[in-house]
Amino acid sequence: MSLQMSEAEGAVKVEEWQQTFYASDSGIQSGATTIQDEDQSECSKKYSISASAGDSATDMEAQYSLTRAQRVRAAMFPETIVEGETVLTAQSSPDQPTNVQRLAEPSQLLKTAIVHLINYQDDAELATRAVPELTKLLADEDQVVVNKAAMIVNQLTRKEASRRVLIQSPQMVSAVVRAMQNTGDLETARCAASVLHSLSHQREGLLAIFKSGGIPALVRMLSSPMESVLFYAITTLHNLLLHQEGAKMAVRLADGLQRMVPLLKKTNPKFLAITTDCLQLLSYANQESKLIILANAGPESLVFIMRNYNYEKLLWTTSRVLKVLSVCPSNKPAIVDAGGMQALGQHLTGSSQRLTQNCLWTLRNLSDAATKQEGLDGLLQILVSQLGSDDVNMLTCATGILSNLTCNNARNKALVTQSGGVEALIHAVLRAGEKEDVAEPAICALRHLTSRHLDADLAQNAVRLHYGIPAITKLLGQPHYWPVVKATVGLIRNLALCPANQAPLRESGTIPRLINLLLKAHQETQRHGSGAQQTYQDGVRMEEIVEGCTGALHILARDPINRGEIASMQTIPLFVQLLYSYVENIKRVSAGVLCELALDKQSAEMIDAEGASAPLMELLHSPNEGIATYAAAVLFRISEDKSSDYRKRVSVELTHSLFKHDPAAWEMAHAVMPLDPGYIPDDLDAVYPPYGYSDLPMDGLPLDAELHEQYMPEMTYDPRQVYPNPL
Amino acid sequence: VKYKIQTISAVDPDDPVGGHHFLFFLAPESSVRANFSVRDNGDNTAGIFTRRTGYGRMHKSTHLVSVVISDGQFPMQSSTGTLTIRVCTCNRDGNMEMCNAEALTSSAGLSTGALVAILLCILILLLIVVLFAALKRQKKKEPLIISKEDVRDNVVSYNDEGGGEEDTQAFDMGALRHPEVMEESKLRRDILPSESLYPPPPLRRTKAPSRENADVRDFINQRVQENEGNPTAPPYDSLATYAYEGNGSVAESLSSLGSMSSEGDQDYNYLSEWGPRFRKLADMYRGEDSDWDS
Repeated sequence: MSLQMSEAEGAVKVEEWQQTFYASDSGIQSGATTIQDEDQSECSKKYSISASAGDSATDMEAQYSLTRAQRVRAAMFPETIVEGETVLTAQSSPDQPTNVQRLAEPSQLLKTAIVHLINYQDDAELATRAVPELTKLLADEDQVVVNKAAMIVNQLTRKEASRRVLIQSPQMVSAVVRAMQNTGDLETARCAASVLHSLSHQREGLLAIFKSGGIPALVRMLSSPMESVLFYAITTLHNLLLHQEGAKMAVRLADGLQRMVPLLKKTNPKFLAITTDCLQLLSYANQESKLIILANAGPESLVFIMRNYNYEKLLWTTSRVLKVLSVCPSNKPAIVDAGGMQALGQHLTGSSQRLTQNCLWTLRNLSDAATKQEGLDGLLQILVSQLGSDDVNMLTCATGILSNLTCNNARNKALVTQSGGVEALIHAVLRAGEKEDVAEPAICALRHLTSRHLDADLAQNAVRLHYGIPAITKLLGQPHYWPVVKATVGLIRNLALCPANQAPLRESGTIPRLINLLLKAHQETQRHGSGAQQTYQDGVRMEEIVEGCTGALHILARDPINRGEIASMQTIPLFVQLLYSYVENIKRVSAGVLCELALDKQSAEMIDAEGASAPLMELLHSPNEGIATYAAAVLFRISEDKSSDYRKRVSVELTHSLFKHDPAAWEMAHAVMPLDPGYIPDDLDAVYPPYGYSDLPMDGLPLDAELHEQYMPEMTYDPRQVYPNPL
Repeated sequence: VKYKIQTISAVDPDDPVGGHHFLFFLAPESSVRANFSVRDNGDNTAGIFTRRTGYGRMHKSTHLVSVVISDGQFPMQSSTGTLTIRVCTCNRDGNMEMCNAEALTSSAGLSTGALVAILLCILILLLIVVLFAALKRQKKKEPLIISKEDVRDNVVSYNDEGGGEEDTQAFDMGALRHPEVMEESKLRRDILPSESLYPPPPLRRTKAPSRENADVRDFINQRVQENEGNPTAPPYDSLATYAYEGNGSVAESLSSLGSMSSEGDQDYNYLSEWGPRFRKLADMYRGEDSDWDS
């Protein structure tokens, strides 16, 4: 009420009001309305209580104060207004609410809160009294009674007060669990499961369920034919797994995994999402769980889901399960065989970032088992396009997957090359900078792409055309991260196979860097003795670096200018020394580089002066065809400017040894060759080892036969196994 | 040997005719086991003589001797005088040393009873000490080193059980691996190109060269060329094993399947229709409803 009266007026009014307080006029008789009257009471002092239909203004004035109490009551308890009763408001203007009106809403809220409190208190008290009775009824033998009791409990869980009371009674929770387990009636089971489900939304409820042995019971419910029971059970288990300590172990012990995996055949996407998340929670970092999932044909079901559903949450949780399973060496081939690579590849271009990332991690984990898979064309193309991304995680995965999928798979190599993979990989390398996780697989992928498939030369040229050579050469510099160095050196060797690359490689300073690396690595190997110990740095053996560098120099030396540069850096003594290495491949590549260098007369003389003939003679008899060929070539080229007699002997020797690898040609040769008294094959056999070239400098020690053989199982690769020895 | 220690005389105020004639003799009560004797000298004096060889000062330091003196007249009149004889210590020359009443200190000698008692006490004490020593030797076998420095105000209970099976990053197995084992489990391994993938190129063997140099040279060059194209030459393709499992983050809450609870008013009126077993509950809940309505 906007009291703009003077005090005197106000006092008078109050007096009069007091007198008339209890003479309430409901307005039914007077027909008073709530029409606002602008020139209301402020100025008027006189009013009379009149129940007659008098002047309406006077009437309203009259009932003005009488109904203040009514107004308050109406504001706070609108439900007490009798039908038809109207209440006057003392509102003077529409936009200035009266005090009662302003109080109306807060007082309503207050009233509601108090009502709730009273209710809560009531509910709690009631429930506390009801719980023991209900517990007794739940344990009854009569199934109908149990059913009804379950329904009551279910209703109780709908309100918070009673729910709390239920949680606090362990006997009640145990009774519910037991009722759920032992009943044959589906409806009872459903009610009980629903109760547990409601309880599982609070922490104390989870603890109560856990302590009452709820987990084995819930796991058993997973075999129920009723859908709603399944829903309640899986959701409750999910809450337990998320928030209750010890629940994971309990579920595993109760054979939860064995029951959950078959549920993957259901069709409700939300249900599947929860189930797969449970599987993920249970199998993360737990090898045994992963094996159990495998034993129950989990991978097939999961891949099926990835292929056929669209619900994002489901795809995301499933991809997480697959990610966890893909680190297990037994699950990996199963997932790949079920078509996992193809299924995951479907989801790399969606809008969900988290789904894409998880699929990429999973694909990367699986990739080393998938090199023989078919139907990966789409995946490869998507990966090539993802190489343009700026997200480092995406780059890491894409390069890793590509490097594995192109390993010894000519079809994948060709496809990637044709899809512009080379350019994309070079850009990835440039953007990777220091990040070895991206650079190493990218360089490996380039190395794969530049050899052993029909489009290798396409790739070799593409590297040059996309300005890859300077970037690659830079990777040879300090600081050395040896896996990257090893991959780069191999790539350079492949690139040098293309004649057009020789000049660019030379110009970007590859040759000095390679030679430095070679020297450094060689020193390391010498430091640690010969053959006995393995010298690892960053997981790479220095012998591998020696071999890689020498191999690259071998191919680079095909170009005459490069040849000159290599020889001018005093490398020939080192190469000759490498002929003594116990590593088969090192012998091969060092013989190869000497073979190329020996085309220059000056170099040939130097090679001879270093006493290369002795080890080369030994190598001539090597079972490895490549080594023998190169050794023969070097020996021949060295001997070209010696006496003709000597040359003849050398020729004979060489051709004989070369023919050793090829008996058919040997027979043919015998038939063709004219007989020479001095040259009878049998004689040669007799005089074979050791031949004793007195006019050759024999400063080199003959290779120790034991060293030859000692170099064995430690090597990861052994070309001897690849060359079937024809003899 | 009897020593005279004193001469005593008497006085009689009665003056008899003929002068005094005193008689001295020991009183009957002192004469039994007397330590001293009286000898009448006959000239109204008497001498007190010792009767023993030695008098223990500790034993009895004062002796009382009663001497009867009679006057020898008729009727005889006598009086008894008690002499207090104090035993004093003398030095070697016989001169008197100490005579005052002092605290009598006993000599170094002990009576046998006391000696036995004392010995017994000492024995018991020794026994106790030996027992103690034996116990202590036993206790010393305790393995705990209780040093003086080990002052603990609180006992801290450490509940750190580590990361369990999920903790696969807190250590680096690679540092412990044998290099040969490492070889097999390297993350990136070279894969030999198999024979099936890359069949060796068909061997094109030309006819055997004659001994002519040029032929040999060509032959050799040809062989070299064949070799270069060999796909089984290194560098080999390699595979890397990746095993990234993620960090086990918890999924945000997935949409629930069931409907959540409602908070509205509920009625339990149906309870009364459920038969006798539910009578109690029905009463409880009916009471609630009626309360509410008032």
